[in-house]
Amino acid sequence: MKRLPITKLGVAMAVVPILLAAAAEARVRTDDAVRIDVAIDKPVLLANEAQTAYVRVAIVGVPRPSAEERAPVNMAIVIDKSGSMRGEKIEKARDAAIQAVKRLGPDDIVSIVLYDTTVQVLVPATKLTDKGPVIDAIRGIGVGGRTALFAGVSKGAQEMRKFIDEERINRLLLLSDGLANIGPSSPGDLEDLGTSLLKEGISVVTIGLGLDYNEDLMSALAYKSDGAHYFVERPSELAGVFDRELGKAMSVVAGDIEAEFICAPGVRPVRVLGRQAEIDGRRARVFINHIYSEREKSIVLEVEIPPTDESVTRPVASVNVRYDNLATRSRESQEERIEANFTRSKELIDKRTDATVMVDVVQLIGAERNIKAMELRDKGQTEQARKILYDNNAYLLSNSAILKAPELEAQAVQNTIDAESLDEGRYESRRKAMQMNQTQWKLQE
Amino acid sequence: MKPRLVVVYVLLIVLPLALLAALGVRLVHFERRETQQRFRELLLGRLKEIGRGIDDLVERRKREVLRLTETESFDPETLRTIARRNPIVSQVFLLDSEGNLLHPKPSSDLNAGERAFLERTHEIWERRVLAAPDNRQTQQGAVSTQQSAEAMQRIAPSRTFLPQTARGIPAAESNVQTDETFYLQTTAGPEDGESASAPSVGLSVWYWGRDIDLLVWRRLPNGHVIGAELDHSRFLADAISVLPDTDPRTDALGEGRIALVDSIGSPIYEWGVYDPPKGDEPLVERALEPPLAAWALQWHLPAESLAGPGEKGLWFSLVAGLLAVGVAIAGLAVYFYRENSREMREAAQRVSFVNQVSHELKTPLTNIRMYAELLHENADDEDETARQRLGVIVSESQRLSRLIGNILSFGRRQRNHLTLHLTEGTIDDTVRAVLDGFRPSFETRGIEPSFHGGAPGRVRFDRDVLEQILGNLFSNVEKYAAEGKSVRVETRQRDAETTITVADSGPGIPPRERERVFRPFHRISNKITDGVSGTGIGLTISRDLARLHGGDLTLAPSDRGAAFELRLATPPYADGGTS
Repeated sequence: MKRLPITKLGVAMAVVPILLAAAAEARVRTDDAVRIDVAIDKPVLLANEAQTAYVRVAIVGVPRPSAEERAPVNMAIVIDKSGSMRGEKIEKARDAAIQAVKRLGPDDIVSIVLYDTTVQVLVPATKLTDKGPVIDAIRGIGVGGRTALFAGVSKGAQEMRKFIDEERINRLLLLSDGLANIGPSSPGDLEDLGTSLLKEGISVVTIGLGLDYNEDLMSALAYKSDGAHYFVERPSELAGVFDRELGKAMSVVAGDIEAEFICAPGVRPVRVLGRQAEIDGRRARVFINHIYSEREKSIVLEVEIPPTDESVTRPVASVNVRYDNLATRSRESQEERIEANFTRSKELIDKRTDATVMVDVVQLIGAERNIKAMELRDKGQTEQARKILYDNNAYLLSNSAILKAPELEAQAVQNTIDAESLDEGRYESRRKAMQMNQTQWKLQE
Repeated sequence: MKPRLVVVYVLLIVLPLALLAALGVRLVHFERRETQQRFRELLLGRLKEIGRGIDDLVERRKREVLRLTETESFDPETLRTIARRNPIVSQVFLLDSEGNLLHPKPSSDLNAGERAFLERTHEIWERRVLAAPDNRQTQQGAVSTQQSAEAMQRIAPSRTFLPQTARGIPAAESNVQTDETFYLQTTAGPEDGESASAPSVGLSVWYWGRDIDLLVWRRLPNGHVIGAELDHSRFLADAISVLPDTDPRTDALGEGRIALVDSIGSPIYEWGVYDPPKGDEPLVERALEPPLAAWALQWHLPAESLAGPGEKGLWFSLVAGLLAVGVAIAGLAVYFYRENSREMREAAQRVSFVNQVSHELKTPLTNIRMYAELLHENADDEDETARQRLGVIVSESQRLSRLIGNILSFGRRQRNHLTLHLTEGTIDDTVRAVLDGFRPSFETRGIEPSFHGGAPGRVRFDRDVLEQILGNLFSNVEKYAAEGKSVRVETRQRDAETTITVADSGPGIPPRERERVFRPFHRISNKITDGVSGTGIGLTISRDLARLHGGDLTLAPSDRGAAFELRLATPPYADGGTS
């Protein structure tokens, strides 16, 4: 279900020349950490009719000059050591953590926090100049107790704050295999915590292990903090996930990204697909914590465009992207404007439709429909849910063909599997996979 | 061993032990109560210390928010940026002087966070709680303002007064809809101006729904109020962060388990190695300081540590101490018993030795005395020297036989073997005879005896006893009252009783010695008695004998010198049977 960033990037780059000239200037600078690409799904719109359009900004991390030159990572690994982790789970968790510590460099910060009913700061935030003691400490992790998840994250974040600054990539890896049952444990509590952590530049990567954790809570925390959420069914997959997350953290080129859309007069921002946004008046803001090298994150804003005469060029929105360039350690910004033309020719409209934007839009709408289906299934409306999933599958497949986007096909396949796993007994574990997929489609992590 | 002695010894051991044990048990119980009390106080003190971390956090956050809201412009964009960039706050608000919300303005374009904020807090704004006092909408009886520096406002919902828990907050279990329940409590800051009714800075705790929310605000010179809502989750996370984590190396007994609990008593955070059983009541509980008085710190400890650190040791030392004392007392008792019985044995041996010797001496002495008296009576009147010498022999042998008589009587007295041998006779004759016997030695010392006989009747009495008593009394006069130069002996007889008074003109007996002189081996120690030999049993024997004889020997009051009064039961001969 993961898309192929390089291919995507290629498509995006190919589209660039046909975009507005105003945007082109911004891309000339060579020391930029990211390239932004603002586009509208239909650069030519139907005249004299109110309609919905999608403005998309794609933010792509530039390739790093060398693998060695990277911003140091500040990572807290928060591990559930409750009784249910006994056996292979804790063993693999230990291995994965040790492997992560081994891969980090001497400038990186790591802290290890264990939680069950209570919390133990096993390794306070420390520079990894000497890995031996850290690895020894990890080897000694035992199990027992209940699950004070909120407190574990709180303490992990507190450790990270000791070294929090702009040039470090702040990431908290949270591993849990059970329901949070000590301390605040509603998805709302963790959502708020995630929101607050994102303000500090801390993203939480939540890893649910096995079939007993609360995926709503774990995905909410990841989503609100712009992290990532994983469902790991077999402990042996843990090392892969840790490795992947570490790789992402080590490839961050820009942080604290704020994308601000200001709609032109008459244009109304409706919502941002997938991501959280602050919308007030004509302004919409989206915050992203990290942009990775050679990978794209896109933001899609749905706007309402008022009826406009034919042949008029109407400004739709300006998009200002501000971010910390981790290579130059400076705050930079790029701005682009997007306009639309109006015609009565449907042919022209279809011809000029931006396929790359459409792929993003379809993917996000597909994600929304998947979420809707899950909600219905949770309410017990299994058949309606199944119908939505099959329809979604068809929608994704047809668009995949039209837009020549294999990633949509992969997403369609997931929806089919979902549709076939709604029955009692299978749904519980499938629901965890659905939560993971939804978070990944929304956040493109 | 005599049974009485056994009882004495047992009591001697058991009583102090029982006393000590009782005291010890009381002490241990007292100690336990004291220790537990002290322990609790200690724990409470530590909880207070721990709670201070959270109090400080509130204070820090308050200052941070006040600093954050120091802004020149109050346009929505600026205020939104403040909320957006600061992890500790979830929303910034601005009120006009009448308490109307200027931001987030309910009628304007709001983002989702602002809408949620208004949903949470609309009652506060509707009630205009933070408005300047003149503009505050007063609800009958629902708002009460204390005009003090620490002005507290308690606003209960108008629809229903909520049941209050012990900590003074609404019970969460109440069936009132949670979004209808809210409770606001405001602590005005120290920056409080001259007008106590319009505090310039404040921290409001607002009980709504899930738990508490904290609002920090400041009144601007134009009467507007700018403030911010602290992010609830972040505040919880910060509270957790200032509290310690669990160090598995600590002792479960020493640390126990401490929990920070929220307004409904469910734990926000716990730490400590000890894992209390489900439903375990905390040993101590302490509410945090306002404004977080709804939260409390609870300390769970294993039951065995409640038994008191060192109480087992206390019991052990008590028992060990009692054992040691018991052994010591028993040892002492055994030692004293052995000493005592050895001394008794030795004394008995000495007494029996003295008795035997006395007895052995008695027969030859009787012969000596008898022959000396015969010689003395038959002695030539011309040979004055020989007569005198014989007189000395006679008087000395009489003295010796008195001494032996006393010793033998004393020995018998000790064995309760004193008996009377009543014979018929005249008291006056006996008295005169004894006095005659003493005459030579009285003369030697210049003592002038006088006798006034008043008991001429024939009565039954023990002549030997009377002689012994009188001998002792006269001997005392001879020894101690020689300087008085006179002794007056007087007898009286009435019915079956004879009284004999022996009064000297010597130095007398000091009042405090009047009873003691009758105790065995007691001798008055002063310049009169020093250098005079004596056994110290004469008066004892005499009194015993007098009592045996149905009378008594007492010291009669006298103007000068000592006057002994001897009473004897002397049945007249005519009445009584044979000898």
